[in-house]
Parts: sequence; C-alpha cells; structure tokens
Amino acid sequence: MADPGVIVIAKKEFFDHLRSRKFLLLLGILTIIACMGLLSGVSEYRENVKWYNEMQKYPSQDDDSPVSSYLKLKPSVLVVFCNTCQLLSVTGGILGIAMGFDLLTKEKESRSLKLLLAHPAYRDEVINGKALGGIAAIALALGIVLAALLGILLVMSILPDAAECGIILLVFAITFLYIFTFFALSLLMSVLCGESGKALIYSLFIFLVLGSLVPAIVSSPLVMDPVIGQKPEMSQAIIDQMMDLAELPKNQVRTQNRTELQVGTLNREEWDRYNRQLREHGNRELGLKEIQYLISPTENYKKITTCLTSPTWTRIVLYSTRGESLVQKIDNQGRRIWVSIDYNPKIDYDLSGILALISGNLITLLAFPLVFFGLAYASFMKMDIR
Amino acid sequence: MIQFDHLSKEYYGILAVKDLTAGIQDGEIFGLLGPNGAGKSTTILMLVGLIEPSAGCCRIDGVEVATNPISVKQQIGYMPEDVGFYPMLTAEENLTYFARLFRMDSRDYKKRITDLLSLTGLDGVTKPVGGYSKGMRQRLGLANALLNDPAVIILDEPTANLDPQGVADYRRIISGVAREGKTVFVSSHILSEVSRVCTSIGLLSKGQLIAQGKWEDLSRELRVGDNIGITISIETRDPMPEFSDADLVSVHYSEDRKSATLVAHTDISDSVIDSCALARVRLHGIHRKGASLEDLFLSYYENSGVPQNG
Repeated sequence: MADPGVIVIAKKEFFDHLRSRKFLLLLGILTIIACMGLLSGVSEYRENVKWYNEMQKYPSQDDDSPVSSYLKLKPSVLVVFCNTCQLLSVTGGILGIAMGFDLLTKEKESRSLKLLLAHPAYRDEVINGKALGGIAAIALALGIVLAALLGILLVMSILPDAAECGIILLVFAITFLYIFTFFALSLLMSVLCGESGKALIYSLFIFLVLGSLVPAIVSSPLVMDPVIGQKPEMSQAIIDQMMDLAELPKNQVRTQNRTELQVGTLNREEWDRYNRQLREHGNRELGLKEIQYLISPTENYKKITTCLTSPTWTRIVLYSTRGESLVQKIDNQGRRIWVSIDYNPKIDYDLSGILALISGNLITLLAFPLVFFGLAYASFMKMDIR
Repeated sequence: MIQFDHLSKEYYGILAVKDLTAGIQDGEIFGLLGPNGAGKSTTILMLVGLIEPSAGCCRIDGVEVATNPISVKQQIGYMPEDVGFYPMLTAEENLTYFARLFRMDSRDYKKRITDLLSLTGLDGVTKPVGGYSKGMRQRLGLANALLNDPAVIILDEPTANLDPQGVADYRRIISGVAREGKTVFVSSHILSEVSRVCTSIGLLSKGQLIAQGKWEDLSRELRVGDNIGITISIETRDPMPEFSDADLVSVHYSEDRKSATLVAHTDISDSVIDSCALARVRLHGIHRKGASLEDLFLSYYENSGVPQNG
C-alpha cells in the first residue's frame, strides 16, 4: 500500500531537515546551550541541597508554620531546567525560524514547486506534509537535547523522581510547542515571500518584536505608570508600628487554615487600606502582564516554564502580583502543596493547581502556532502558481 | 483527448487567455505557438490544474481539470518551462519522490526510473541535481514527464535549453511516445522546432487562438515556399519609409527602425529601392531570401489584426 501524499511529503521534508547542515548546526548549538543552562542549574541545585542539609540541623519548634514547612522541602531537581528553558526561549525560537523560513521559498527559487503541484498531491497535503516533516524534526531535535540533559544528570548522579520526570516531559512538550510557534511563523513568511532572504528577515523581525520589543514596551514606565499607576507606599506610621512589632515574637499567631500576621497593635484600618491598594495595583500589573503574555509567545513560554521549573522563591515572586504570598509545604498526606500566607483562603498549589493557574497561558501558547499555521495554510491554498 | 471550452483567464483585470476553444485528438503532437506573453504558459497551467480558469474549462479524456485535478494529474506528464528540481537530491532521488506521489509501486518505479534515465542520457550521473546544467535539468524534466507512463504529455518550451544532441534526443523521444498513441501538447515560440515534431498546431496571440489545424493546411494557407523575404537596412538617421506594394504581405521593423524585414508574394526589391529613394533614405543593404517560417507567422499575426508585443 503506497503512502498518502502527505506522508510522502512529510518523510522527504523530515529527511531534508536531517541532511541540512543548517539544522545540524543549530541542533548542535541548541544542545550545547541547553547543557550550559543545565550545568548552571545543577550548581544552583547543589547550593539548594547544601542549604537544605544545613537547615535540617536546626529543627523548628513550630512544625506547621509556612517557614518550617518550606524548610522541610527537599529542593526539586526541576530547578536545573529553569535556566535551560530561559536559554531555549531564544535559541528555540531561532531554530524554529531556521527550519521554516525557506520551506516554500526555496521551492519557488528552485522552481520545483510548480513541478510538485503538477503531481497528484493536493495543496493541503503539500503544506501539511511540510509542517509534519518540520514537527518531526523539531521533536527529534528536542528528544536529542532532552537525552543529552538527562544523560548529564545521570553522570552527575542527580536523579529526578517519577513526578519530576513527568514535569520535565511536560516542559519539553511546551518547549516543542514554543519552537513550533516560530516554525509556523516562518512557514507563513515562506508562503508570503518570494525569496528566502526576505522570509528570514521578516521572521526574525517579528520574533524580535514579539520576544523583546513588546515586553520592553509593556514593562516600561512609559506604559506601566499611566496604565496601572504608582505602587502604593506604606505610610510612615505603619512602618514605625511594624518595626515595633518585629521586636514582639508573640505577635505571630497561627490559625487552623492559614498563618497570618497578627496586626492587633497596628492601625487596622490603615493597614487594610494599604493592603487593598497594594492588591489592586498588583491586579492591574497582572492584567497588563497577561496582555503581554497574549502578545508575546516568548514571555508566555518563560512564564509557563518558570512556573513549572523554578525554585520556590521565584514562584512566590511570580504569584505575589496576584496579591498573594505563597510558600510550599507538605500536607497531611505528605503531598507538596502551595499555601497562601496572605489574607486569601488557603489555596493548594500542586501540579494540577499550577496548571490551572497557567491554563490561560497554555491556551495562548497553543493559539499562536495554530493562528500562524492557519494563516500559512490559507495563504498557500490561495497562492498563485505561475 | 484534450478539449478547451471557452477557456479564459484573467489576472488583475487583464485577460491572459480569451475564450480559447480547441480540441486535440489522441495520438496527436500538438504545438501551441505564440510569442512571449501570448498566454501559452497560462493555458498550460490551467491544463495541468495549477491555476483555475476565470471562465470556461479544459478537459482531458472528458474529465474537467479544475474540478478533478488529482485524477487528471494521474493521467498527465508535465514539464514546465525552465524546470526545477530539488537541488540536494540526485536525479534518481528526485524521480523516486515524484513516483511516490504517483502512488507507484516501488518495484515498478525503480525499473521505470532506470529506463527513463537511460532514455534521456542521464544514467550513471550520480551528482545532485544542483550541479546539473540547464540542459541536463531539461532532460530530467522530460524523464519526469514520462515517469507515470501518462496518456497525455504536456511540455512547456521543451527545447529551450537543450544542445543540438539534446534536441535530437527530444525529437526521437517525442516521436516515440506519439507512436505509442499518447497525446503530446507542446508549447513553444520556436516555430521551426514545432514544425519538425508537431502534427497540428495552434497559433496564440494576446491570449486568443487565431488559427488551428494540421501543419500542412496552415502552411498552405500561409503559402510557405511561395513567398520571398527581403531584409533591408539603412544608414541615415531618418526613419524607415512606409512601403506599399500590391504583393507585399507584411513588414516587420526593428525596434530602432534601422532595418526591416518584408514578406512579399513576389520580388519587390525594385519597389523597395524606389520607396527609399523617394524618401531620400540611403540604403545600407538589401538581401533577398526565401521567407522563413517566422517571417510568415509574423505576417499571419499582423494580418489577423492582433497587435504583437514580442
């Protein structure tokens, strides 16, 4: 039984990628950069383990406090992938562009497109076949990078547990989606442009705009200040009273569901107003950042992978914009959970909780390649062949 | 059988092909002639299903191309003008890829590819196609057009880049496939080439088919062999004078109007010299010869009232 046209084309495209010096060079660079990121992550992980071991020498009397729970947490191996993902946000995007920018322009330039379409293959088989070939090559490249990273971890005797392995696979699936985003973008440019050079330049320009320019503009004071206003400042009275409180150890009390700061001696009304303003500012900032994630696949990818791989403090910083402060702790069943230490009710932040929190980002990340590929598909179907 | 039924194609408000109606019988070698920009390639692109007609349709063996492109593509072999292949692949790898798109069985296509590479003189060439000359690519294009043993072979300017040996091989191959009962559709602006291989021709100008028929009938109509060509050139800066003579068929001026080619039923050299003298234009030279096919077709185009652009 002969393969359908889409498979014939996909196979050819896949092997074309593997034979291409450009792909092999970029795969080499990608692997080296990912390994460098991993090695710096390993150093951080080892520091965390060292610190954790030190902390175990001083058992806390208050076992249920967030700080105590945090100290009981063994550092996660996932942190070693955090830097790698940050580096992949640039090299991965470039790999995607390099693989897609000339897929159709080189056929136009070599005049093989007309010949190809004169054979019994539907146009959608051609564009889908090219995309499938690219997808397979990206998957292979990421598989090689992942194997190299896991190999290094094994050599360094760092073994992720089953749950961490699951998250690592998830992170690579998201990285795949991210690279495919720019592959689809450059495929679109390849359909629209007549020359490979133009397709490459336009793809890189859009990559730079989405990856660097948009985040820089959105987070600049020129945009931030008019949209979200100045961050509220704590009044001197509260600062003075807090300084006094810091000297009183009994002011920190524990309740059944949350741990909160006892503010009995503070001017409660002023404290609540300050907190409300802080939270409103945080929500406005978060809203602006969500727009940034909606526009920039790079920032979106960074946020998602940071959530999944970063050390605890990063997550606290990340979620503090929601007006919450979070710490990790172990619950009664021995599960690692996230607990809000702010005024919100207790929230569990295990993997499913984190996924729920970043579900919007995941949908946005999925939407980018779909939109780019959809446009490439529609443009190719209507393209004039002369 | 190939049929064009009121076929038209419009690009951005300009009609590239206008109401083309023609029929080509099985086993014919049909030559579509016309100057550059006449609409030959557009007609072929519609015939192979690469572009859709703005109006009308074309059919191959009764199957409409625009509505059944895949089934039509299974039956045809096509070689575009200035054919391109995948430069990183060898000839065999290129043909293997296209054979797979034809859903050919691997045992069948391996033998077929070997035979075709031998037929086109490319057997033993193992370098990637990127290193081929234009002529070699043209040979490979012909091999590709014959890959699926098609009933209809469509060739766009097939001899444009071939050397004399390549042209001879091409004529031999085309004559061979026509003897097998296959229909060959050739587009060219090289009249002498078409006249040597084609059994019937169509003349296309500005998207319009201005004549169609057996080669013998058209050459009789054009009085090939009865006419005389006169080429004159002038020295002065003055423009070429207008010529008039009852036997004059056509005049084709060069772009700078320093020379002209006249086709006439009789030798009108004396009349031409008189016209130049009358206009005080000094003749640089005058050459008489039998009118070439190109001269005659130019006269045909001019007499048809369709303005030329090539």
